Formats: sequence, structure tokens, C-alpha cells
Amino acid sequence: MSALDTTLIADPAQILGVAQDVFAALIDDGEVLVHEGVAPESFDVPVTAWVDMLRADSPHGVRTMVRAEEADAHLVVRALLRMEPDEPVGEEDLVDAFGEIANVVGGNLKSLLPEHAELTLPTVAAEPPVLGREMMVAQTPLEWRGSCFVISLWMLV
Amino acid sequence: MKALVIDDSRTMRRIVSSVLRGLGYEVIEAGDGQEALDALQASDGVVLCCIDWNMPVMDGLTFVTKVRERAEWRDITLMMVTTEGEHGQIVRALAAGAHEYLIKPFTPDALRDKLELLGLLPVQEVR
Amino acid sequence: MTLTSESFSFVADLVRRRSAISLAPGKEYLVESRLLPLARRTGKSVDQYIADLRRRTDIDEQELVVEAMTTNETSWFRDMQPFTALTNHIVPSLLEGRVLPTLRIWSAACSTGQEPYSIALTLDECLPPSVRAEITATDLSSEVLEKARSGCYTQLEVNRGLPAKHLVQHFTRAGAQWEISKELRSRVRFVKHNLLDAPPTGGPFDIVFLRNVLIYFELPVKQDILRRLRSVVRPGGYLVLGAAETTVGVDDTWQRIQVDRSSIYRLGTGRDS
Repeated sequence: MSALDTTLIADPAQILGVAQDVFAALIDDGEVLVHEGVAPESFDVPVTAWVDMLRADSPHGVRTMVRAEEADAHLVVRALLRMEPDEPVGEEDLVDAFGEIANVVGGNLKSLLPEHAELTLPTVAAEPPVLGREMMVAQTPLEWRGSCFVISLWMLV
Repeated sequence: MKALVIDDSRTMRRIVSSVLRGLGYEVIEAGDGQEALDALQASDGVVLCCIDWNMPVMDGLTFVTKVRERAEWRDITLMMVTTEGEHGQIVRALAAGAHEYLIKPFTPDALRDKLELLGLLPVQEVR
Repeated sequence: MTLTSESFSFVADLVRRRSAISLAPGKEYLVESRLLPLARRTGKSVDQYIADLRRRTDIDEQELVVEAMTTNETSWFRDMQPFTALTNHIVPSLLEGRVLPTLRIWSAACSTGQEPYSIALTLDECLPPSVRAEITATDLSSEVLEKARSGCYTQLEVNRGLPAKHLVQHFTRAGAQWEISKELRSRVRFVKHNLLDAPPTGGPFDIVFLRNVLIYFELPVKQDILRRLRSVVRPGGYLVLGAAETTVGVDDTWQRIQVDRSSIYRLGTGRDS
């Protein structure tokens, strides 16, 4: 029962590349507006979205997590859904759209694994569940149009 | 021309539908493979299905297989629109009967390009 | 021929003001590649061309720069029609009643290689096994040729107009990128070349793709380019232009042939037209 080989994906440059593609394609009409950012000390009102890569024969899944301030999560949701600047972002839209970002980022990272794995549906909450033995294997802070998003990869033990 | 967009993410359905409508399509949506089969049963004139792979109840690959079993749906173009980007996955989808494959994330232009090569742009521009 | 940061900033600023599109640093290669056709007209390097533009206010020229930077046209099988014409008309016509061991094609202004590789993929399907295809692909920029030679494309790039069946048959994943098979890469020879110079080696050519290049030139230069080109095209050979381009009114040695909704051009065989 071996862990998923995260060599190719536990790499901030690789994660940045995937994030750039995701934002460029789905949000910014092909233009790359995502750059390496600076992770904040903490988030005041965090929103977290995550998906897990799992294999039947391995207890050690890999979690892709996207975290941001609620206000920034709203900004990216508005952009993704082509909403008006002052249109309120409902809970359903937030969960669905912010979750979808984690889904596409995680899905693309999953394609880089040497072996096929399944992807769970995205979950969105303020904080992810604490299982006690997770281990962060990569963290990539991003800057997009002035907003900060932190993508992190975790081994779930 | 009518298209069926199948994805369990409302966000992704909105994105794909919006591009298709912009190109002149009438769009119906479904949240999983079973809903999609029901929609095909109930609607006439669907020429294109944009299909996500990973969905609850019935996934995209199963949907493709089931559509290809029905003679009356033989002329419907089936295009996967999914994050599944491994070479082997694409082979599986094409082997199951999908005609085309668009990897997420995709730009609106990329979707348009696929439709052009399939001959499925409602108004092929005369240039 | 490297772009100074002042030049890059000027272009990025201009583009952002006119189109709200942001050009991130690191995209110098894109500016170089996109503005090359415009710079070519003036006989200057891209950097010099931009330096000139900064020194004066030329709204029309600025418009062309914005246009060049904001169109996103590097797709596979671009416009589809020429490749259908290749399969259904050009190749059958060239092979008719002839023994032709080698078909020579020139893809001029090939950019990052999608066009010559698309040609290779098309010929792979429609050429009989007894005929070998030799493709010479040229461009002015060493950088884009480098990328074209590598045969490596991002996921976003392979999403643009490449049929899935070709993707699975001829590409493998290389990390986050997709790489064309060595076999397919070996069929295309990438060479640095300026259309205003003598034609490249690799001819005489049976088919030339010269798409969306002539539009950047004035009539006399267009005629000059076509004349030079003609000297390396076999009688009865074909020319494929961009969707909005024509040789009509430019060079009457080419016969216009309507194929579906587009035109291709055939060089007179010298016997009759």
C-alpha cells in the first residue's frame, strides 16, 4: 500500500503553471494574470476549497487546497461567472464556483501523477477538516489582479 | 441547433452554455449522465453533447457508452469536456465512442475551434 | 534581436490602454513573434520598430500593434478549409497520373509550428505509402523556431483546433506539456528565413502555405514575394493563402480555384491556363 507519487506535482512552479492556465483560460480570456504572490500570515475570513486525489490501493490521498479571504473569493467568483461588479455573491455560487476552481486545479495536477487516481467532488468551507496527520508537501501563494490565493498540496495519512 | 451541456458543476455548465449560446446554440443542461439521458429522450434536435467525466449517479463515460448503443442517437456529436487529461483517459473516451475531447481549463476560443473542426458552428462564417 | 524592457513596457502599456488586456513580463517572446510581421515591413528589428513608434504619434500604426498583440490565432488546422482542400483536391490533383516519390511542401511564416505539423498530420492520412512528404517550415524568429522544433505544446495550445484522434496518436504527455512524436517531428525541417530574401532550400515545392503574411505588405512587396516564391514552385504547384487573401490583382500567373468556401491558387503549367 504505497502513497501517491507526488514528485511532479509537489512543485510550486508546476502548481503556479496549472493555476496560470486555469485562471487564464476560464477567467481572463487567455491572458496570464496570475503570478507568484506572498502568503499572508493568516486569513481574517477564510474560504477554503479542496479536492482529494485517491487510489483504491492507497490510504494516502493527496489534497489540493485553495484558500483565500472571503472578499477575494467573491472577486474571483464574480469574474468566473461574469457577474456585475456589485452583484452579490450568494452562498451557492460561492461554493459551486470556488469549488470548481479547486476542482480544475486539482484535476490538472492529478493528470500529472504517474498513476491514475480518482478525484473527489470539491468541498468548500471556512476550514478543511483536521485529520491530525496531514502533511503539507507544497504551498504556492498566488497573486491575481491584486487578490491573494494560496494553493497547497497535502499528503493525507 | 440544440446542445446538451452535462456537468455536475453549475459553474461549468454556465461557462460552457454561455459560449455555446454566444455561438448561436439553444442549450439545455443536465447535472449527471442519467439526467442527460432523460433530457435526450425528452428533446428533439440535440446535435451536440458537451460531457463532463466525473459526475455522480452516472459518469460521462457511461453516458457516452449508453448513447452509442442507441441507433436513433447515432448522429449526435459527443464531446468530452473534462479535467481528465491523461493520454490513457482520452484513449478510453474515444474508444467508448466520444468524437472529441476538450481538456479543462479551456478558453472560449478553444471550444469554438472544436466546433469548427466538427462542422458544428451554427453559422459557419463566410470569410 | 532582443527586446529591451522599455520596448516591452511601451507595448504592454499601449495594449492595456486600448484593449484592457495585460501583457505579463515573461511574454517578451510573444511581443517579438506578434510584431515581427509589422517590423518586417519597415525592414527593422522589432525593438527598433517599437523604438520608432515611441518617438512619434502614429495612431494607425499603434492600432496595428494592438491588433497584432490581441489576436489569438495560433491554432492547429487553422480555418480547417485549407487542410480539407489539401486532402480532397490538392494531393489527388498532384498525384493524378504521376509517379511522385516525394511531395515537397513549404510552410512559410510557420510561427510555433502548428501549421507545418498540421500539414504533416493531414498528409499522414491522405498520402499513399509510396509517397514521402518533406516539409520545409520557415520563420523569421529564432525563438519561435526553437519552440516549433521542440514539438512541445501546452495543454491550452493543444486544445486549439487539434482533433483528439491526432492528439492520442501522435502526442505523449511530457509533464504538463504535450510532445509530438519524434517520427512526426522528423518530417518537418525548420529553417530561419526572410521572405524578402532568396527562397529557402528544400524545393522545388509542390505546395506552399503562405497564410496571413502578405496582408502586412504593400502591393509591390507582395508581388516581389510571390515572384520569388514562384521560382521555387513546380509548374502546376499550389499556393494556399489566408482566408482573406488573394493573388487576384497581385500576380496573374496563379490560377484561382474555388474549393468549397475557400480559394487555392495553382501555378500555370506553362502549357495552357
